[in-house]
Amino acid sequence: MNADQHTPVALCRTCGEPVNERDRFCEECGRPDPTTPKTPPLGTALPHASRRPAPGGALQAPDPVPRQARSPERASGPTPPPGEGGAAGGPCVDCGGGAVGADGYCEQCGLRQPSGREHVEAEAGRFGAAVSDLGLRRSRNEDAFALAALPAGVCAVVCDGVATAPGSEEASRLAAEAALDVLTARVTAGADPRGAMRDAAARAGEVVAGLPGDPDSSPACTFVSAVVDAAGITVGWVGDSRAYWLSPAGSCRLTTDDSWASSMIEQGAMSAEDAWADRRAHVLTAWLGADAGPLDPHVAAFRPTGPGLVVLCSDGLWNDLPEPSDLAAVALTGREGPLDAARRLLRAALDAGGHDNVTVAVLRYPPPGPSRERGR
Amino acid sequence: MSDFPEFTVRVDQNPYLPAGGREMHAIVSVEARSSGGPGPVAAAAGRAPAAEIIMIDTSGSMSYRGKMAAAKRAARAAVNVLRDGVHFAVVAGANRPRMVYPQGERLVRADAASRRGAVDAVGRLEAAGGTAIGSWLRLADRLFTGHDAVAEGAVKHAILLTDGKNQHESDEELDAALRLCAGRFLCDARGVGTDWDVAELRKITSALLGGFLDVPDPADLEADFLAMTRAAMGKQVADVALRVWTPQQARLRFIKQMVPAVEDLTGRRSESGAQTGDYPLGAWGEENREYHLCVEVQPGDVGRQMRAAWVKLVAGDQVLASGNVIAEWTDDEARSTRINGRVAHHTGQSELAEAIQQGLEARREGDEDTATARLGRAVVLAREVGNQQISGLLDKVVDVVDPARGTVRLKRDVAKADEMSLDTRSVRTVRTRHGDEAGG
Ligand SMILES: [Zn+2]
Ligand SMILES: [Zn+2]
Repeated sequence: MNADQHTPVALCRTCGEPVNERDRFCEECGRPDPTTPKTPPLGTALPHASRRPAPGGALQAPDPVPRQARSPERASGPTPPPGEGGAAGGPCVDCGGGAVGADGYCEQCGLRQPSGREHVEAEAGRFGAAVSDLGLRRSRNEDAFALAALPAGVCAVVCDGVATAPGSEEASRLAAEAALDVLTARVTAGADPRGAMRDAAARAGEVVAGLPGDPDSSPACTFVSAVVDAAGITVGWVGDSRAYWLSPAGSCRLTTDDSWASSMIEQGAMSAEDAWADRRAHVLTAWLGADAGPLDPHVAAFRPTGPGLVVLCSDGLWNDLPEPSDLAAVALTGREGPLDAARRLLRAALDAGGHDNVTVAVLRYPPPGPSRERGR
Repeated sequence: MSDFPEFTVRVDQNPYLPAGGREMHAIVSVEARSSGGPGPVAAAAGRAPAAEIIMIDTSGSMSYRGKMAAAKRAARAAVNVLRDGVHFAVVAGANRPRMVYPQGERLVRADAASRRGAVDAVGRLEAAGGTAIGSWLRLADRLFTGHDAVAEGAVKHAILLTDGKNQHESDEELDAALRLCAGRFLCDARGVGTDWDVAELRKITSALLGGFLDVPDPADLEADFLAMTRAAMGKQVADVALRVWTPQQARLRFIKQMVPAVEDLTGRRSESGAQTGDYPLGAWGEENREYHLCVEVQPGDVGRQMRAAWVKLVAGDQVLASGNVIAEWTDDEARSTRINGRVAHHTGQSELAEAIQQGLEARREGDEDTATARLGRAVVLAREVGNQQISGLLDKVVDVVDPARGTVRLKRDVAKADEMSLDTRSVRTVRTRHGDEAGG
């Protein structure tokens, strides 16, 4: 008898497909090191960590984030306990014996503990979903998202911590959460999404600017958010995280980057090719942070003529797939749920090298009505 | 209690290891700056109480080539820069040590009168007898011990001058004296002339956390003594240790002082906690020192990060500064193969010191092939690390045929002083610029 048949099956931490424990790559999505055997099942040792879909692909709405439920339904990235490490103060998930110091390292075996942000997924009903992943080259995930269903739609925020500034992991998380709070409260109360978006960006900016940091490199992050309801799509942004509109009828980018390359191209000072090839291409010209100066978020609103998907993403995705048509080819092909689309986009970024943290939020337009369109 | 200087710790390393990689190297730079700000008043206020013993070899051989006269000038100069309030003594060494000043086995407080008294007493020294350095050190230890009750936490420093080998006691007696004195006081040494033994002074000052230099020309002694005494007077904290935490399952392969001179500290460990060991660093004033640390860890998964070592500078229970050595496993070869410039530099300096000492040893034993190979390697390394002083000293011992490939011929006639100088200074390193991250 083939011993392999008895090998316990684990789940790929990117796509959730069953893999053998010793598999070095996931056969479904190709993720290297798909199970990370040393990390305990997320969701037990790390209370706010990601939820995996059940094997076999039957998608279920994840449990709400296990803390005080908010109205309206809300889902966002995990909240690590005080200190950086997900298990600070608790026992080490690697050696089991050591206590974890406030800086996230085990006091016995020395290993830095998972923060719970290595891979995070969330869904807002059938309206939208988001995925955030460490990627293949980074040791921490400084991206964050927050996502919530609205009475008649959905809103989401994606933030990308500036890796060179210590504390940016915290900055992106707090910014996303603060902005989402403002968006849900204001839009639920009937405010115009454009005004709500400006308030949300301003609040996120305040929160990040208030974080402790050294004056030469304050914690910082980018910001992109969207409100999708029957009336249309509103996006707001600061920095180079992007929003795209993807639909079978045609796709386009909804944002312009606040970056050096972008401004060179806009001014006609350089060709796009030259600007992107420059070392300074990705230098931000606007961001959230104490050193950012007065905040002037971009806000734009659209009303598409047909159905499609709004994608918010960090540069970990668009660096490898910059063209709306590339993203559409991945997102619109295959199973239709927003979580599936977000996972496919993540997978594409990992397949392209996974050089950076990857965060993708996928929101459906028009928001599905109360009766399910598809009998699942 | 004095105010400690402000200590800072900086760690230079490439934290990336390839999958399965276990050996992590880092350079730990420690800088101490006076907290009281510039100016003599502030500096004086920050000083620790100090005790200084000056030990002068007065064996018979000191009467030749003006050595005794030079030693007297040097000792007088040292006495004259002792600041008021420092407790001191001058000791004459021969078969047996003898108090020169004050009379009786004790230290005396430095002031105008005691300095004058000591200078006069030094002037009456005469050379006679042999060399038994262990007995000199034991006397110094008794003097310092008697002083301990007066000033707790004092910087206890001795200066030792000799011109000969330790012939009038056994090696065992010297070793026993070193075991007794280690950790009790610090000792810097000078060898004058060419009849002393480099390895012997290296052993003595290494055990007593000091440095030594060769002074081939007695005329240079005075300046040397002045510099040593001034440095001792500038110390602000007596006993500093480097406390190193390493992960369970890890092994600290070595820890070496690299600047100002190569000194392997690995064997000086004393356990100070479940996963920590302390390495005594002696007294500190305003100065910089650098340490090369190598730790072997259990490999983690790609993408994981580990604290491979946590270094803390401690004085008693007080942590003065700390730094982390991090290890992170990656499958990005460009990252894991990058060599930190400062690690490379100090690795080169370590190897340079070793090559010189082995080359000279082989040469003394008549093994010319080994001597040629090792000194040839030293020529290459000295160029690589930019140590021009060593390059110059090597030129006096070998004829360099091809400096890039290390092809050399041993010189037939090498002055004893030049060989001793090369041996002595083989451990003296050159500093790297802090911004220098080059190397890949
Ligand atoms: Zn997979
Ligand atoms: Zn542990």
